[in-house]
Amino acid sequence: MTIKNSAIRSIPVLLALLLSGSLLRVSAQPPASSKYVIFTFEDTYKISGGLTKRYYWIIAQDSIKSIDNHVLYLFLDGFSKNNLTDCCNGKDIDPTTEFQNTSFDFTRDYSKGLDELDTLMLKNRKELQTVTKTWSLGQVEEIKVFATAITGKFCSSNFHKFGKKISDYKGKVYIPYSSFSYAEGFWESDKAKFILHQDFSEVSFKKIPF
Amino acid sequence: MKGVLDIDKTGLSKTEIENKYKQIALDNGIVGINRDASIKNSGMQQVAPAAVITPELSNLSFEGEANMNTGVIKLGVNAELGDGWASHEILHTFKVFDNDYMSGGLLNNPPEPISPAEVDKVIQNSYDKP
Repeated sequence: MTIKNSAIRSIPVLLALLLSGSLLRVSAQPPASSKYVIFTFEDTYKISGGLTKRYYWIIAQDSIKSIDNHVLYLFLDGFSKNNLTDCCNGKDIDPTTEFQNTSFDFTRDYSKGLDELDTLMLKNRKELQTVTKTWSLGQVEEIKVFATAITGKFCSSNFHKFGKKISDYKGKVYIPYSSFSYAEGFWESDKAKFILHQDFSEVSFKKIPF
Repeated sequence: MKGVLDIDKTGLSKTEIENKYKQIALDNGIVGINRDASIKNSGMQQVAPAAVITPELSNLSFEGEANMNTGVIKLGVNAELGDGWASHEILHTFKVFDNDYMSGGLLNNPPEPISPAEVDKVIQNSYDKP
């Protein structure tokens, strides 16, 4: 009876595992779920009619000791299915370059997952700093910095040499994979205090242009 | 320039819409070989994606009137924008990126006639025929 019950209980788990693999349909090594902080830099040039661009950077919560070497570039969009697969397999990627076999044919569930992550970040982000830069010619740039504590699976790999032709970025890049949720309790931790005391005014957040 | 049927957006999320436009850009792109020797010698043929011009704005910009997406593929151009903005956005498809909007040329705000420096960047980033 016990064996039978445990077998029944394991069916949904097995189904979930099989389903999650088939839904993604990428030959990728699923990364482990971990806790991160995602930084959003909203960059607005006032003279250009308020056009705002967002740049995303990510740090593993375990690595929050210094900002300089552990905050890495996160692609939330603009990457291909090939980039996702390669990134999850540890191969170098460059989402700014397309090849003949490049495909954007993601599964619906993967795309929905990205939208959910975007919503989670907008809903739970904490504003850290606003930086305003004024030029003598009249241009005004406003940079708003936000952070969101996220639990989820993210792939990472090196930035490909193709991309390095247009960027001096040397670090790893991240791509979201699955299973995103808000990481409760982070803002009450000591690591949060470290982030809250950072000055982001000199951070080069536009290292990979678009 | 060529017209293609717009995508059916029924029931699609914003990410799915973006990716469908990107696929159109790739399917209508031009195959080329990067001029940089290290890339050229890799033997990989790149694709210069077509610029997809649509009134659909990118999800990257929730306030802007004209924008582009990462990967320099899809352009959202509002018909009410002034002269030069469509050309400004199309310049981005050659991987010439925005600066401070105050340096003159087509990247200026408002856009001005294309500058020699911008033309140089376009040539520098162009691909050779395979």
